[in-house]
Amino acid sequence: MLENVFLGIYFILGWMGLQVIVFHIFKVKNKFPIITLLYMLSFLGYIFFLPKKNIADINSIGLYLILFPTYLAFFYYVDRPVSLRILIEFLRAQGRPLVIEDIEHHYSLDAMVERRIKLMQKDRLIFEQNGRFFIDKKGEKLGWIVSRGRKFICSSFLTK
Amino acid sequence: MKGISIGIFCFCLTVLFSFLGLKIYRGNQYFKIFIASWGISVVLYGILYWLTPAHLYIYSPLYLEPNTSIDSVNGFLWLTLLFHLFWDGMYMFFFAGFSTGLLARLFDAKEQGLSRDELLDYYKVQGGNMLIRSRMINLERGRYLCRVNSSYELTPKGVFFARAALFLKKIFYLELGG
Repeated sequence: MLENVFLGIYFILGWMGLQVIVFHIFKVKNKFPIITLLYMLSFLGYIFFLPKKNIADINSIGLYLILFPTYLAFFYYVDRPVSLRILIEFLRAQGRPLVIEDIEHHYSLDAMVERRIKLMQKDRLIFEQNGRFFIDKKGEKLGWIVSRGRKFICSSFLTK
Repeated sequence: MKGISIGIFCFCLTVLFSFLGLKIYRGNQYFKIFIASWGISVVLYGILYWLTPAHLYIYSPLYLEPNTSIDSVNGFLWLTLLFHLFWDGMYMFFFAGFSTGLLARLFDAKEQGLSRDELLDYYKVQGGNMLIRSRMINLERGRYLCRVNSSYELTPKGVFFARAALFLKKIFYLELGG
């Protein structure tokens, strides 16, 4: 099993390294398709080179598959969090103390919402019509899960 | 397969414990519920792994990992990675996700939809940005920022995370983000 895991680690490292190179060479803005495509290629390569040992294959292939969403979660931890952006704004201030209004000036609510709207429009989760935003068919199921889930799970928090 | 099977079973228990805990818990530090659920499941994983036979009454010898140490660590890894994804998903969808929050509001608005200003109004408090203000409170509580009179500055912990974030953003060819 261990040789399969180490082979998997080599392929995962190769996949991560290759995507970083591709991002920089082609100045990729929409990174998700590239991450997914390269992962699929690395997975096929991994399967091809995997020593065939029944149970060890199932274990290591399973781990290889589960590492993909784990990596995506890490990638978006770096890209999206508002808290990290706030810390970066402080770093950019080079030691000068900042008040909340300074942060809001450099990192406005309009920009935050605008970025999300654009991303959701691109993913066809929402659409714009006559200056108003509506949920698209694709976004309806996700919207239902999020809306109902928030009410169900967070009901005790929301009522406080 | 024993490790994976028990790992997945215990992950299902983690989900169950988390939902039960969230319905009962009255505080606002949700992460404690998730960590406690995972901790209980890890203990149960150890007990179940120790008590049950290698074949679990269902697997033929072909599907048995001969090295029990590797098998048990593998199962634990599955439990932990699945838990991490569950935790991340719960925060993204139901607790802190900004985009998912906007999506939920648009879903609730149905065919009336929402204008840009109406979406912005959800996040405005006393003329300021509710999101930034709530995050600043959390960052101060987590000792990433410290208050100096009415302003804030980075603590050494905050400097470390800000530098690490900038470094990773450069590696991944990302903009400032957020």
